[in-house]
Amino acid sequence: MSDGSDLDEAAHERMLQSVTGDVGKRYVKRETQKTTADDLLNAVTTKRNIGQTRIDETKRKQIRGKETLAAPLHRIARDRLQGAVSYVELKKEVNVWAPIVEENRVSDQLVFHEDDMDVMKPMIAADKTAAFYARGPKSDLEREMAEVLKQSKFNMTNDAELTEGEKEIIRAMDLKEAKAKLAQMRKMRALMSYKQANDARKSKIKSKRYHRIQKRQKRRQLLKEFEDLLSRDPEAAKEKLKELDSQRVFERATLKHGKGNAFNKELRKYASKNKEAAALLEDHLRLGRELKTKARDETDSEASTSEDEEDAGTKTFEQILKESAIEAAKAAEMEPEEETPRIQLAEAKMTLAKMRAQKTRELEEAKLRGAGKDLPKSKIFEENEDWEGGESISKINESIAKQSTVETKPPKKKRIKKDTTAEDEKNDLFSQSKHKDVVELFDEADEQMLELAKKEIEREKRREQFEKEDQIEETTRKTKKKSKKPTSVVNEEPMIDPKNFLTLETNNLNALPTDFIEKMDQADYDQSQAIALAFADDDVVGAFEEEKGEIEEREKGKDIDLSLPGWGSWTGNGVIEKKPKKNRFVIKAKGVMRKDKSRAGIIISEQTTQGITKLQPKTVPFPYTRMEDFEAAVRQPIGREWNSASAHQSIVRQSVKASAGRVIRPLNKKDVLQEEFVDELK
Amino acid sequence: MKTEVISFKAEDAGDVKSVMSLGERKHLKTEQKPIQTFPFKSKHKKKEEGDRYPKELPISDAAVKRHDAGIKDFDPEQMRTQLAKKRAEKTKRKYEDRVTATARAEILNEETSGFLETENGNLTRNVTQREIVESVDLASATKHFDLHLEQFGPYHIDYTDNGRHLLLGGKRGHIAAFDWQTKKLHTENNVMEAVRDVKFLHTENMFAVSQKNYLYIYDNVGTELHCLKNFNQVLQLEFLPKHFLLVGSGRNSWLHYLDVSIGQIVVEFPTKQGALDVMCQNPANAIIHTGHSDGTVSLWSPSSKEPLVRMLAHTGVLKGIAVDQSGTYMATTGLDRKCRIWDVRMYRQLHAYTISPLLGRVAISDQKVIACAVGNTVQTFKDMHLGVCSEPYLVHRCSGVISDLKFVPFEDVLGVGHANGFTSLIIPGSGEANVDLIRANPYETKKQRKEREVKQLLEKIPHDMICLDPDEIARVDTESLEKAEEERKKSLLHVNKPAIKFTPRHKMKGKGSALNKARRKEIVTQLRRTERNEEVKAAEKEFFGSGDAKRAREDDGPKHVLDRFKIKR
Repeated sequence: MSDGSDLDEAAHERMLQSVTGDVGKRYVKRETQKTTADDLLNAVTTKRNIGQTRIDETKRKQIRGKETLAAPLHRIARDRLQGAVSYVELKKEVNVWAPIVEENRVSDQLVFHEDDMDVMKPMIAADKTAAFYARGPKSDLEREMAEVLKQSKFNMTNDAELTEGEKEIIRAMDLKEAKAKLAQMRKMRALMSYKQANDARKSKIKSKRYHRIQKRQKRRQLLKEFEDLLSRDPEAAKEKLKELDSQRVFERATLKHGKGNAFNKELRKYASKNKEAAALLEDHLRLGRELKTKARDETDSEASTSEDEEDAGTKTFEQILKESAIEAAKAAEMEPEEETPRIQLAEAKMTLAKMRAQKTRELEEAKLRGAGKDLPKSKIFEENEDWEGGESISKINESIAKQSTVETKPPKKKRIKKDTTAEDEKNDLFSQSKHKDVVELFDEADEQMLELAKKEIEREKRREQFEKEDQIEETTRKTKKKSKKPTSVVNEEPMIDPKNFLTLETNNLNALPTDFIEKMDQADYDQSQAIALAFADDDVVGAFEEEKGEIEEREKGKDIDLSLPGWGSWTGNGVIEKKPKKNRFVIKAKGVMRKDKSRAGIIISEQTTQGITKLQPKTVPFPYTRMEDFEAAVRQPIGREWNSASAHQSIVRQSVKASAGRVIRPLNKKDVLQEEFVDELK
Repeated sequence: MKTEVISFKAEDAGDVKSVMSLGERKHLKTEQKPIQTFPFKSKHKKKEEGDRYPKELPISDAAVKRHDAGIKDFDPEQMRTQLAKKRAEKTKRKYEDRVTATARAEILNEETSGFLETENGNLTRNVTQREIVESVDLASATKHFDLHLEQFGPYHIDYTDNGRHLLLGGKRGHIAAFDWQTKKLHTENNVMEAVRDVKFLHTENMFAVSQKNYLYIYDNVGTELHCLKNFNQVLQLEFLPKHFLLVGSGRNSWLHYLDVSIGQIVVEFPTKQGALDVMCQNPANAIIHTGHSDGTVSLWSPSSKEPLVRMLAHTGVLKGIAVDQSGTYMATTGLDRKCRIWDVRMYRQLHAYTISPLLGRVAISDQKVIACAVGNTVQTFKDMHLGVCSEPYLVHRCSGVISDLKFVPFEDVLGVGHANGFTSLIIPGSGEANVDLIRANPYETKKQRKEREVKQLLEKIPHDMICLDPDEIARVDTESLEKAEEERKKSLLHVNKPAIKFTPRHKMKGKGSALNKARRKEIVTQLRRTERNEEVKAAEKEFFGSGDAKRAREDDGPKHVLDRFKIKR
């Protein structure tokens, strides 16, 4: 477009308008109202806040001039603070779980998906019937059956504890009767349990004193009963006395009390110092041993020599003892009657009492002397009150027993050898004893008492003698100032040469009749007998011991020589080799106590088998601190072979029980925690 | 309101301070007052609380003792942590309950055992098998039978562990396996060779036969499965079912152990004791006992080529040996006419009985009845292990010389192999009355047998674990630890000092200067050196004794000029 062109402006305008439609409107500028300062000032009508804003402004200016705001905390310090606070919070929150966690950790089985497990539980019968009824009968048969079943009075339901039928039965019972029965039963049970508890408590008491008192009570009780019986039925009393005697004799004859009797105990006290006492004790022990062993030997020899007397051999040791005990008791009864020795008895009693009194006086004097006091005037002799009926009888019994222990052998011998005569004697004894009356019985008792008293006196004397001798020895020892070993050691066990163990024999067996073994074998029999005899003289034990020595030598530990070659081994003329110098560098092997030491006829290898040590634990594993605990725990059998089914199940119960393929969700607070905790957590 | 008043006298209450219940007062009244009471009684008296009527029956202490494996040694308080303590308490309680529960379960053992008893002083040994058979029920009567097999010579026999099946092996080649109760024959064959011994393996389907030269294994229909040439001229066979080991004792004194589950020979070695024709196993610990011609008994395990124990048992040749099921008693017979009973745990002789010079094999039953072969008679004895036996219990004469004796488990039956066949004898009271079906099931079905075979294989015990005391595996091996420690100490004396290598840790700026580092290194090295020196000193003192060691050190030390004038020791 050039300036020079004559352009009709109006036409152009029109053209544009026709092209663009109403474009022209856009370019129409609206005239806006202009705000002036006056308008603004006029808008403010009140002067209320104007002053305040001004003051704030001034204040602000003043503050800014004097101090600044506090700087925010350092990140670490802030974290620490936050941590401390949140620790407390979190602890509170977590602590709620602590008991549950602990319980779960300690429990031996954790069960997840318990709801699943419920499904697996077998239905109880009541549920089953309920389900059946709920389903309703379908077929005709079922319908009929259901009707029949419905009529039954014994249908169980979940609601009632008892069925209709059961209730009827209960109703039918007489109330009073039932109550009485119940009461009686209750009483019986209670009584039984009291008795049981009482017995259990008594059986647990270990105290010697208690048992001593108990024993004494029993003895008294027995005596009382016996006296009662004596007054009521003398014949029965006699029988009873006999029985008691034979019991006691048997007890003593079992040789159980050989070492522990009062006499031996006392003897033992002196045995270490006094030779005579030691010899006596030794004698006693030997006698006891012989009694023990000979009883067997005799039966052996008898059995082997005379086969016709079979029944003697068949008797056990105990039976023999029993018989001899009975016999001894009878023999004691049968002793020839002397004049009633009542006067002697009284004398003996007196002397014994005197001796005792003397003894107690001496003791007290010694005590007083020890305390540095003056001696009181000598005490007036008093009658001893110890001689009560109860004790005396028991002592008589003891004395009988003592006799019997010594005399067990002869009567038994007699019995076995002369069977028939013994039988006759026995009969006589019985007949005589039957005719005896109570007076005689008491006379006998007196006699026993006298003997007992005599014995007691003897014992006292002997004791005194020992004591004197002891004193003498003591003084000599003091002068010589020589320490001596006790001359004899009390042997408690019967001595058996360990090397002769192969010749020992328990009990000879009764030989079978020879015709039992077939004739055909006779040749074999003779031959093997000959072989056995040929071998009998071999010193098998000696050969074995030799071998044992070799093995011991082989299994001994080896010494380690630490000396180096060349040390202390100078060569040349006149050099003497010094062994001890080299020995200094030899580590001696440790001497190990062999398991088979001092045991003849056995070699126990000391080599540990590698197999088992390889598998044994070397140390104690974690929670254990002591070997004993660990070993005790491992030792417990857990298999079916050694346990009842339920015990086995409880031991091998799996530690976690969960159904496969299901997620194990975290614990639900509502399920596990108690309500207050849940609230607290909220 | 009405109040109840209970009044009672002071003597009723006794010393008890608190008011007693009515029941206790009754208790006092019912019990008679003793004349003199034990003074401490009143102090110790406790009030009975809780249920007065116990729900459970009391158990006998003996039963508890039988099942107790020593749990009281286990002290939970000794555990290292609190949690472990709590857990241990629970475990302990469980084990304690186990003991009582098992003891209580003994009530289920309702069968009672008893021996034959005679009246009017008759002797039991005069009772014949025929008399027994006539008086017992039909089923039991069938248990006595005789097999006349004269042509095939002395028989060796074996029963399966459950006592149901019988295997016979005649010297002249005849072998037969059958169910002896129903008399159903599994297989019968003649191997056309000398048969020395026969043995069932873990089931009745396989058995081993030791023949003239080698050992053969056959199945239940008589098919030859294996021929083992290593087992050369084996005289006796034993099978250890828990370990699956077949043990053979050779004429050349060799002992072979074959693991039948993998078919490999585990171990074989010469015992150097001559021909091993007397052998048995201890069922409690799987130790093999062999008897020798010098009258000794040796105990063997596969882990040792030397005998673990040797005992001198007889002065003559040893003829027979047997160990009871519990592994407590051993019976031996010898040419010295004696039958001896031993405690195998202590290796001590308990009893000895003179019987006959013809004594041969011996066997022990579950109830400790001992059967001895004497020529062609069998003599059984009861209570021999208690030392109260004085004559035979039952006696039976066979038609030939007896070559083998075995009691049937869980049955009152004794199997006797002799020169003219086999005899099955009824010995009343010899077997265990209550069958332990878990241990061995006589009524096993085919399916149960298969099941058991698998289980047995899974539970197989390795042969290394065979040792004298089966409890050994539960013990901590302190011995070897001590030995190792001693070896270490000894080695301190003759092994060169090890070089001490120590590199100080690199420390951060300011602390890790070279000087500091060197100083630290010096300190540590010095410390280690002194430690070792102390140890050496201690070892010297231990092994050489203080005096010697001191003198030795003096001699080595620097000498003074004037030392030469000292008097020499």
